[in-house]
Amino acid sequence: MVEQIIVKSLTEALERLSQKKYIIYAGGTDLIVQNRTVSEAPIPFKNPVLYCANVNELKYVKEGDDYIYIGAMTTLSELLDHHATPLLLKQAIEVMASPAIRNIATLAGNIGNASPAGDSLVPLYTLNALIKCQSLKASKLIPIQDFFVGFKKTALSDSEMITEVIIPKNHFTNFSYRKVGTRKADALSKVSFAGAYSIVHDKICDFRISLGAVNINVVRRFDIEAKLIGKTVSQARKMKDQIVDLYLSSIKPINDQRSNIEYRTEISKNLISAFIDSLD
Amino acid sequence: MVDISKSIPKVDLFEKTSGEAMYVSDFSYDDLHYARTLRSTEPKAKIKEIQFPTIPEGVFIVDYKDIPGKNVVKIIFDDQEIFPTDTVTYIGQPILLFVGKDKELLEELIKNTKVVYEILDPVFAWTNSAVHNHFSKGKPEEAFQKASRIIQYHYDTSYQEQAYIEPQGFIGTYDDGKVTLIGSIQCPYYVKNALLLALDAKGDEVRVIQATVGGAFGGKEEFPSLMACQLAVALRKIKKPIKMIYEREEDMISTTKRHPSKTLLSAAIGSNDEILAIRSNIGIDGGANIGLSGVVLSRAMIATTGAYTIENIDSSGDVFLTNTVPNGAFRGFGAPQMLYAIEMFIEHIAKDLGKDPFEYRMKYLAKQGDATSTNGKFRDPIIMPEMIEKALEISKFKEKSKIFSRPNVMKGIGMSWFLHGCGFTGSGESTHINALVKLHKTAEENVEILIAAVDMGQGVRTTMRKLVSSILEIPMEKVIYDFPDTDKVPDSGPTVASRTMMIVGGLVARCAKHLKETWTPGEMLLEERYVQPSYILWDEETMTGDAYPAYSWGVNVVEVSVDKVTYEVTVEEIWSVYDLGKAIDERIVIGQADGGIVQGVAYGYLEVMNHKSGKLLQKNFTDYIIPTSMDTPKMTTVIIDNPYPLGPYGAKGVGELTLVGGAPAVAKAIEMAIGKKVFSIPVTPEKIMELMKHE
Amino acid sequence: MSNITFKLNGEMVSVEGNPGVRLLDVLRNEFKLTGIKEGCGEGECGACAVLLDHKIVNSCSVVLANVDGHEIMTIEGFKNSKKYQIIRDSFGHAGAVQCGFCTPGMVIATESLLNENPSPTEDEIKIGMSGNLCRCTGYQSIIEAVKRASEDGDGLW
Repeated sequence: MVEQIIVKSLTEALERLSQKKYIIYAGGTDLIVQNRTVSEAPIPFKNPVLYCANVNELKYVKEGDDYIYIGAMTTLSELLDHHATPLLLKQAIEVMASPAIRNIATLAGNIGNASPAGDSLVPLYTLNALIKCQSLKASKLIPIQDFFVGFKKTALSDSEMITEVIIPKNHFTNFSYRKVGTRKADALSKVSFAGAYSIVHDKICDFRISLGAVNINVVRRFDIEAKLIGKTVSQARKMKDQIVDLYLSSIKPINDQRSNIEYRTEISKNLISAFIDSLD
Repeated sequence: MVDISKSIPKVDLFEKTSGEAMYVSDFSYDDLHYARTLRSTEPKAKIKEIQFPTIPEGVFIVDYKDIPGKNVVKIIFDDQEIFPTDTVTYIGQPILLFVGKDKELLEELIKNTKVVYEILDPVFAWTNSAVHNHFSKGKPEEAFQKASRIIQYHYDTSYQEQAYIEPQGFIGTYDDGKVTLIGSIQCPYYVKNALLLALDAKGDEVRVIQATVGGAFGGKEEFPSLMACQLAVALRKIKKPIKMIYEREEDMISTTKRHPSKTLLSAAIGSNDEILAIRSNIGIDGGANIGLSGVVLSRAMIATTGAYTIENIDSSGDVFLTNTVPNGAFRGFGAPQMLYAIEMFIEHIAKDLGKDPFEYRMKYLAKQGDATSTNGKFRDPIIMPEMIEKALEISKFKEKSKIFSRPNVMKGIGMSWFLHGCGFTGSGESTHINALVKLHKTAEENVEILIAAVDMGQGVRTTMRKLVSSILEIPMEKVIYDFPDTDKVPDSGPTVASRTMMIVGGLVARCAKHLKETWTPGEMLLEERYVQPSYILWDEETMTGDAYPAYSWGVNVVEVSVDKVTYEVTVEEIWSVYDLGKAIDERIVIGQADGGIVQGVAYGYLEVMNHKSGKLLQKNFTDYIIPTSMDTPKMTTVIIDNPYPLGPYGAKGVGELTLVGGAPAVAKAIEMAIGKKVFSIPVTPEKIMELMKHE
Repeated sequence: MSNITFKLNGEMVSVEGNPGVRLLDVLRNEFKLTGIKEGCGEGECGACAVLLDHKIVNSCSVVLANVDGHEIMTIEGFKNSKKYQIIRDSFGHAGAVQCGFCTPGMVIATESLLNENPSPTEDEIKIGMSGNLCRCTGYQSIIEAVKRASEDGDGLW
């Protein structure tokens, strides 16, 4: 049986992590399934485990002047209930899994799991979220688009854990989240989309699109978005087909038991298209 | 006299809501052992050698060498081994059992067991026909000769997984030479008979008891016999109590499913655009064993003209064996596949001829007195016109069709008409089952119903007691109906084929009437055996005559909207009208109706299961998608009485009727929404996208 | 290895040993609370649902370590309450119980929902019950049952 430690404070957690590598276990809804074996048997963890769900000091949603600060052990349900949680993020959480899972799953856990189909990731990308990674010695903020370094790989080192998600406050003119799942609830994504924009004085001054489940990490193309900055809505609409085409090089989905390449590609294009059509 | 249909509280409500109801997994014994299964990872191979790790004391291996009797799972064909002697024929096939007290240890041992295979060539294409049937009615050849036009289409259906929420399982004990199994099963006597053969045992050496069953839908009809035989062999060998419950994934990949099908339908069209004849050929994928596939094929073929009377029919079909999981019973049993095909076909014929599909179909709707597809007779009144009227009224089908048929609306409404033959196909009821029921009046003047029928959620524990209580005019509390135990109840046949109320209930009702007439104080025991009505004649060879003693009828209307951007389908609303003779309890029947239509519609648009080189790609609830509460729409069900003289209070079969019409109704609705013909179900967003892109 | 202490159906209990075990197994095997069922073992079906600090969770997806210092209620604990009786009777009236395997989970889901939202709309009910799979009823009767419970239990939630 591997070493399993229950920690109640952040200091304790970081101290442990400074000594060896642990599986950081928050709500555990992903980890428990990934490590599953036959029923009635203990969970066969391959590495030591640090149970952090009871680190209550990491359960919070705080609103500052320019940012929203979300503690890593805040559950998805708690996020839904809090008034300061950005709406775009709420829209994604609402259609994640089920009430039972949302009651213990955490945002940090969804981030740490680093699935290409991770539902909270897509709005977090669009919201320009920052991930706070702490070790005993240091603390750093990594923009979410730099946090994922490969298929199911994050930039966390062995002695670090995610302690906070920081989201800049936004004043979008409009935003939209769309998840295309295998059914209307309790489903994994085939494709997901989070778009947001701001129009000031008839010109687009902010334009963001993130796509999930179509590449090993969430797709966010700042270079494509830049092409729309300064354009009017009608100019943007004229560029629609060109913009959609530009995204194609990043839309590289797979065939699996849920869907296929053709569908995921086509729907991604349709979602981008519909979003540009909706600009107002 | 209270109308029997008036609902009463279900007798098992309290035990089920409180968690007190005992399902197999809830039982335990001292010194309990567990059985875990080593499974094949090859679709077809010879087992050259099995390299075991060191087997500790207290762990046992149970394989084909331990079988005292015949290494055959008694179903219909003797083509399924209990444990393979040397060849495996599908991925997931059980090879042997590990039995011990520590599940974690057993799992470890299984992981470290290496099977050395000699890979053989698996067959996945539908080329190996193991069962071929054919029948005809009238003069189809002639009709095709003089046809002005021939219309022909293929229709495909895929797997459907029963997805009962309680996985399969048994718990067994060995006591003084006797093996007792408690199981999640539909057919206690199927299991007992299989055990007698496997153990070479006498009747009193084997006992099978039903636990509360957490859903079955046909998936626990014949499959459990395999598990039971394996467990019984282990019990005889080890002589300790053993629990064998499947994990969800092993259940999903290795137990029977609905047969995938491909149907080719051809219609000979006459000079007045009339259907002169229909020729159908259906292939179903039996998987690695025949099992019940021959009977599934029969039922599918018999359903070839659905709710319509067509004078000339040529129907043929095959069960193909492939190296995939053996397929078997699932609510509908072949009918959903064919009813989907024929309902789409008639619609497509009408469209090709430029006719209004509704009016066109009406011309062929079966009537009382018509010859059935197999030259039997629809003896009893058919009230379909009244049912269709009702369905049109409550769904506003015609008005909506007009609006939705306009381009780019992306909404649709579809209507299916269908029937379901009640009871076993053909002469099965008299030749194979020969049902026997008993009523035992105790000294305390309670009446005990002794039948082998299983309550798997369909409410038979309530309805059967209600039947007896009503006939004898005694309170429900004085009627007893325990979980079937083969030591106590006679073989009244399996809980399948929508026969439980009509046939078994019919016998119980007759028995109750005799009891009433001969009632004297003190203990009494009466019995009643099934007698086939003399006018029901069936020739198995030529498949002619009355395939079923009675038919239930249905109309389903499904309204959908299809998302322009993602092609996702939303089922907006469902309306159903049923003739099931007489509802023994209205609320229970509505429950069957709701549950059945959701399964049937999901079969048509939502539930996806495929295999790749014999490996099922969807193996858990994450990947095999069944509807959640958010996927189900408002459903309205109307039941119209049409009592059947031989059914208790006029009842006919219900269980399967409510599933079989869902898929064509939703498929037709999607057709209207997207303006393209649908030939293959499930109509997933991926398929819709394909259809929309191709002109 | 560790000592996990929590409140179970109103009583303080302690479990010693490996904390890396599923709450479902601890409840069923250690405490013989077999009202909770295992339908899938991966948090999809909700048959194993219990209340953790009065909110629904799938006990197959909760590790024992995480319940330290918290409160668990299973169907066995809940069934003694008036709220349970209301829910039970509404399920009966609506015909929402067939095979019964999903039912304890549905009852727990109902309690979790009504505890947070005493008068949910039909859409809110559907969302609240969306993590509990049922294969028998087609859900309509269950949604009706929850609605009726919220009406009949006026004041209790």
